[in-house]
Amino acid sequence: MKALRCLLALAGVAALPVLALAHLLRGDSGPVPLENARQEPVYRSPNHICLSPDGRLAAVVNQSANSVSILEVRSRKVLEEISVGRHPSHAAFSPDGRRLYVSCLHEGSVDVVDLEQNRVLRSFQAGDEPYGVTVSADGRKLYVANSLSDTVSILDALSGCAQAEIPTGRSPRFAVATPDGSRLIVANGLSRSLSIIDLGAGRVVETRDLGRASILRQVACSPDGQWAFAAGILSHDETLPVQVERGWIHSNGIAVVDLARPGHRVTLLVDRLVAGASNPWGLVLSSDQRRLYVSLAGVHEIAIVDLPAALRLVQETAPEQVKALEENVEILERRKIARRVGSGGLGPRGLALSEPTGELLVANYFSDSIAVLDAASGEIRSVIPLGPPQEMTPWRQGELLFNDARITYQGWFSCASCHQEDATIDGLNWDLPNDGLGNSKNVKSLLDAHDTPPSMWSGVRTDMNAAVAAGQRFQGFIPDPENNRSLMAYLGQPKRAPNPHRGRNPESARRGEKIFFRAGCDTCHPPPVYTDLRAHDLGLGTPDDYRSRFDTPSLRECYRTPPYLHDGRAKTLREIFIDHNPKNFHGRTRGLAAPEIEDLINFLKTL
Amino acid sequence: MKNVKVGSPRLGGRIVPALLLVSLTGALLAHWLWRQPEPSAPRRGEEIARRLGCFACHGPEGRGGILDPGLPGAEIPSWEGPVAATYARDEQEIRDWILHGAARPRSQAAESAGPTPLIPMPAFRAHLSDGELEDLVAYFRAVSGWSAEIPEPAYEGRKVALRFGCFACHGPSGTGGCRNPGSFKGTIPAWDGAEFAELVRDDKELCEWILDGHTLRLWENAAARYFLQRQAIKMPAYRQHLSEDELNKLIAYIHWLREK
Repeated sequence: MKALRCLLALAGVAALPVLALAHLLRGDSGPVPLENARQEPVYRSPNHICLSPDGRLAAVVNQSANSVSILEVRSRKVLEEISVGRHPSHAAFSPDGRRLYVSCLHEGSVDVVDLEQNRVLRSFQAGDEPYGVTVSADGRKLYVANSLSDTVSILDALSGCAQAEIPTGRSPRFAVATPDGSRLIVANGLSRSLSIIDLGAGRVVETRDLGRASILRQVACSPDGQWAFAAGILSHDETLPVQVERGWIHSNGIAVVDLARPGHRVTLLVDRLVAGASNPWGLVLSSDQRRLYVSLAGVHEIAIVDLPAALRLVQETAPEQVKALEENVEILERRKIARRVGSGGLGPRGLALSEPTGELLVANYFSDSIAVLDAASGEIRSVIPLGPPQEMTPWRQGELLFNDARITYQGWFSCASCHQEDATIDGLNWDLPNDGLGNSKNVKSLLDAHDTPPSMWSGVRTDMNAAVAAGQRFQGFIPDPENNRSLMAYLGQPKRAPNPHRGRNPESARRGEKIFFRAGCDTCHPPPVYTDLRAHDLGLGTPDDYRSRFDTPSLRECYRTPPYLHDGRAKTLREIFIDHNPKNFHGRTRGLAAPEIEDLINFLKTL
Repeated sequence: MKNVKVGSPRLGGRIVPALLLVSLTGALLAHWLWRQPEPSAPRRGEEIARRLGCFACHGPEGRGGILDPGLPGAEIPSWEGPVAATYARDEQEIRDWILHGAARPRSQAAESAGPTPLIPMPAFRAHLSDGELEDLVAYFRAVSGWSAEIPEPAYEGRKVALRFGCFACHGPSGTGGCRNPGSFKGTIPAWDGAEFAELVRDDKELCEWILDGHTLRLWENAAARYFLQRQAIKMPAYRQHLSEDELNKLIAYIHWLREK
């Protein structure tokens, strides 16, 4: 009897950890333990959605949750949630529907998900910060847009072996192959162009200029292979940003290019006269080429474009009319070419068109859900939550506001229209009137703003709080205290992407560090924030600048923020030392040998 | 002369001329002393720099240009502000350079062996008193424009002064000192000190000096006009060459120099 009691007690002790484990595994359904309640909620942040070749399943890329949700389209049910690498951005099914390729931005890899076992089988090495992933029609190749390496990798879809890495424009985000598989159209996020790659030759055969396009997002090709469409912002950095309305600062639209005519481009705005269509992101075409859908991430709407009517307008636009059309914010509404409907959530990004069910699936980033819209009417049929509802922390509210054009007069742009969704840069020079007119300054990353006062190149804002308030006034409104608090929470605790340059060239970076100190760089750029928070005169001011000294920028993440210097005159780090330091004021770099400059740059990139 | 007293008639024959002579000598001596340039700290510092041989390597007035093939830039650093800033973070480090021939290393990395200069900075601690060091630093500060807290308009005013060559006559940072034969004091006035206060009573007069080369008040005074016309180097009239914005910046700089 005693032995039995002993045995039962032992069994009880043994069962405890098992029960505890089971409790943990139950996850959401069980009562949330107190210590978990204080933790940051896990948002899903669906960034992209794509359909399986048979149209039965949809894969949703959950950027914040580092997972992929598999949905059944007809039943609108989440079947599975599969963990993948950090910060997944985009995904594509293999043509047989058995695998899903997921690009993981912060891993520099493409995860291969087996859809029978519902787990990551392998992880293919890609370039730095791979964003868009595209599968060739035969399923043998993957095209990966490496948004930080500024290249497209061509990988073998089975082995993951890199077959080629082709230089493109800056920050390629998405790529699409033409239906005949001969060319790849790449949307360059930061260089106002499309790179057209001949897949046979393995090189860029044309860089198609897109005029004022900025922060280009998704690109699509028409089923007949004649047209390519790219969603993006139109940034009027050529003029003073003093009039928000009528799209004088930012307007928003789609660039339409005829692939057979080199240099051809017509931009159609999806704005309305008094309602901007901030931050076009996702783009999908119907297979009958009747409709084009564009998600407007800043105003939480979907633009439904009557494609034949739009293409008629494109074809009747003579080259000399392109510029006028690019500035016409009324044309689509006036000619009834497009209409805009609610996206069924906040922050619509990726789109998928389920033609058998006649539904448009919208990944609403900030709502953690997929909205199901009637593809013809745009009516919201259903909203599929991707996880339990989560309360928004101030940080998350700040992230939403940062991307939200509702805090801008008439919704023409959001903070992200110049700083991208990650609060960094758009690579352009803007002539803000706060330091005099006629002196454009390069956009600075906001990730450094919180601990390196003052703000702006001319230091006209004493700190980030003043800058955030000024930003809200710039957007056309008196700063709202609550919005200010959220934006400060978001920008005050920036979540930086992992630096892929750390540990890449350790020997060279170590030598570069010594050169950094020897050349006196640390005089103005002392660690840990790599700025002395003061203004200095390096002889770079021009008469238009009204001043000779500029606020010393932090060097953190300088690998991400070209061009450099206050007016962006140095396109690369190397140019700073080779072309823009004639008097040896900007560090004693004169006389450094080329390999020493290389070492210095390798060190700077690790910061 | 007013002070001369008339003695008793008895002794008048001898005492009066004697007193007159003494008074005249006294007055001439006083006048000579009055016309001497003010021995300001930067002026003394310049003499010390000359005595220590600083200009041999750093160039006249620390303008640089002497080769050192051992250094990456192959040049001994000038005393220009931005150049000096890459060697010293603050004035204490300038003192360290002068006294010990090196600033304290900023980090492990800085200690690492780099190229060694062929002409290393000497240590002057055995050749300088504390007061002399301060004078030398004051001169260096004037030449380099070294100042941590110079506000925006004043800094831009300094740039205007540099561009228009003001310091060529008025000395680095307007510390004065350049000889001017035939002038009242024999030197070109500094932008601060007792003489400045005599010459410039307010901003209106400062504007007149810069724009017309003299002030109406002194021009209408016969004695003053005598010296203004006689001096070898005359203040140029910048009216046709200086914008209002530049004038305002320049005045802001002079104000800042005097408040400092």
